[in-house]
Amino acid sequence: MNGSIKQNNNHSDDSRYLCFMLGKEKFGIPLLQVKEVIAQTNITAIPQAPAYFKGIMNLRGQIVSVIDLRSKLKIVSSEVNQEGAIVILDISGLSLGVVVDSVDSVVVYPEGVISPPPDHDSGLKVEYIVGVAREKDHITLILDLQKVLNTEDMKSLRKNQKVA
Amino acid sequence: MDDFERELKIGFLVEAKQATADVEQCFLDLETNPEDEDTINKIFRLAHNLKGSSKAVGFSELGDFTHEFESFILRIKNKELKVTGKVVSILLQGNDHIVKTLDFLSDDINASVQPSPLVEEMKFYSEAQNEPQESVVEKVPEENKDNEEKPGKASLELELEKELVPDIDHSVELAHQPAILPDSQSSVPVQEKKSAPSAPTDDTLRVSLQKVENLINYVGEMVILQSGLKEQALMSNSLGLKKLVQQLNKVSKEIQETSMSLRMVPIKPVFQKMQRIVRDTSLALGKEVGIQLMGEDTEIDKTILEKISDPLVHLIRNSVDHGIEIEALRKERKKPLKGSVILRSFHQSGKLVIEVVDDGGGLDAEKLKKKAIEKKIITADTRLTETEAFNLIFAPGFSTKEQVTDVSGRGVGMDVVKTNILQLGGEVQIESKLGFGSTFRIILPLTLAIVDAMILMYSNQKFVVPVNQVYETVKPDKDNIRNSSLGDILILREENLPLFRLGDFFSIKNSNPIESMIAIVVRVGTTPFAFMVDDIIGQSQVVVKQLGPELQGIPGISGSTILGDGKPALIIEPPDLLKRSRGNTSKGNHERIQK
Repeated sequence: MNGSIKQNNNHSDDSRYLCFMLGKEKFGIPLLQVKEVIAQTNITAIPQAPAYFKGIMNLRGQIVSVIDLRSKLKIVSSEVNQEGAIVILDISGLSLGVVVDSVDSVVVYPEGVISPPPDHDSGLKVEYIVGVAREKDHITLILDLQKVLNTEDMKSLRKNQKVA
Repeated sequence: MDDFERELKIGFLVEAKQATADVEQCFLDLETNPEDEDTINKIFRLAHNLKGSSKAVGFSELGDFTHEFESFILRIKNKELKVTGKVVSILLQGNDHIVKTLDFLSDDINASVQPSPLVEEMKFYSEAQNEPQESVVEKVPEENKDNEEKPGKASLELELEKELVPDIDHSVELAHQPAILPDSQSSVPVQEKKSAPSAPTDDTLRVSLQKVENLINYVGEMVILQSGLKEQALMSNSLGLKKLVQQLNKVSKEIQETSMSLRMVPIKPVFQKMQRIVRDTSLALGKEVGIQLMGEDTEIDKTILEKISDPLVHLIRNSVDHGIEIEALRKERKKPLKGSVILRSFHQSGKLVIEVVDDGGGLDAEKLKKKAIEKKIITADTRLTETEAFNLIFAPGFSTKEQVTDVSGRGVGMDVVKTNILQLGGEVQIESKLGFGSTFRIILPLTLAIVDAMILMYSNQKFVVPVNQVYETVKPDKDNIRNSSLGDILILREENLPLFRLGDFFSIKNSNPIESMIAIVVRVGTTPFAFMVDDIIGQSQVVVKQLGPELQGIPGISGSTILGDGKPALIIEPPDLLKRSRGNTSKGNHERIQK
């Protein structure tokens, strides 16, 4: 009895997504990966890091690396003066901040709403998108952040530093 | 095994390890002071607890061993065995076996442990000594006298150790004794009284280092917010607010100090280990050497404590092996036959000092030089001061002892000592007088978590460099700077130093004229050099923060910190900067072109 309730809860947790805007498009990530959302803050750049690597920030005494999702996914920001927000993620125990244009909402997508992404053969983005949630007037692309921020990037960042 | 049982066992292992460390110290005390009842009682208490709890949580092999161990100790306690070097050796070996077993079980909690041959030795030893009964009889009145004094002594000990003493497991002990020692029934009543203040519990609390670090993080953040609040309060008219902020300031300062001190632990465990090292080393070498510990309660950062042990072992062994002369020579020199090593530590001007002092032969500067020339570490015409000659022993591949012993003398060791200490941001000094002994002095920062740092500005970005890495800072004028096809050169007192801009290493452009900049001279690594920055903003203590795994291992950057304004800044490791520039100037240019 208890178990089944727990499962239900888990289920609803699993199907909740944090939606945010990057350029004109709406993206979603599983809410369970999100620790918190904060306003833009001071970020110290890391020399010779790739352009999408914004630098490090102070999250209440903890140093957290910040990545700009817009430039990582090669999306041009819709507004020039976009301040943006930072979503603090917890990806397998590692805290990481990603910059997005604005945070939209938390949405529950019941089963069946998310379908596999169309098999476009266009560019980099495809491999990061694991699903498409269709709503009345628009679609939300579900991102696999583990892939977006995959460790190879991190490694290349380090390599860059060493060899560069 | 269910979780509960597993947890019990893990808890036991942690406690038992602590107990073995404590008990080893007691054994060593016992050797210097064999008649000390307090020590024997404490040993017995610890051994008894160990036996009881190892059986209780289900480590039966360990329980069997500790049972024999306890019986052996009981014989000492009942004066059936005299405390001799041999007895102490057996005790220490027994303890080693327990430590080994504990380590073994920590790796694999279900491991079965081989019984030790030591068990036989302990049994045999006991029986051999049991035969001459007179000694036991002789000592009985004395024991009774001691016993009367006991309550006073015990309470003093309790006070000193701040231990709480719940009276537990009394009956178990009584039940056990006849079984262990059928021939010492008479002493059982005595036993009972004495063991009343048994089973000490520490009033300390084990907390994971991670939690402490989290706390320190938050406290750091609180201090930053606090300074913001203070500024706001200054602008406000409310007297009440100002007063509150002032009080809050005091409290938060206390909190900060207390939380920093949580990382600090007494150096005691490491010192105790050294006591053992001296004992074993001197026995192996057939020398008689005593060690004196001073300042064991001096506190040191936990992370440093872990890393200081190996270098100290080397130094101590070195002192016993190379420092203290053989007995005949000591006789000739009219020194006491027993060599002495003093290990002491104290705080001095914000640093921790550890000294290893021996009354041995001292270092012979001439001999060291000759050896170094032989080993091609220096050339024959090198002129060295005495101190420089002493420091030759830290050169890699240098060993002065004619014969290689298994104690020390393979030429590794002393250079490892130096490297280890340097890595901790410390230094080693040697003082020595030929024929009278040497002092090795290790000077260490109290903590690795906080460093004295210089805050630099380059192209509107702040960088932090540890002060101990900066040799000097100069403001050069045009005449001191030369351009060459090799690169820029800073002429500093007849010396040509390679000169860089900080940005050269990181491809940060800067349009400031080089004349307006300040040169930071670094002499820590192999090559001295200087790098230019726009400005030195100030000097302060900063809390070192690790970068995430994605940013670790960047050459030239050792970590990060949060500055007073709440912004993160990178901590530069100047010697590593050079590694960076060497491999990358051309590629760096390349990258710039590509952009």
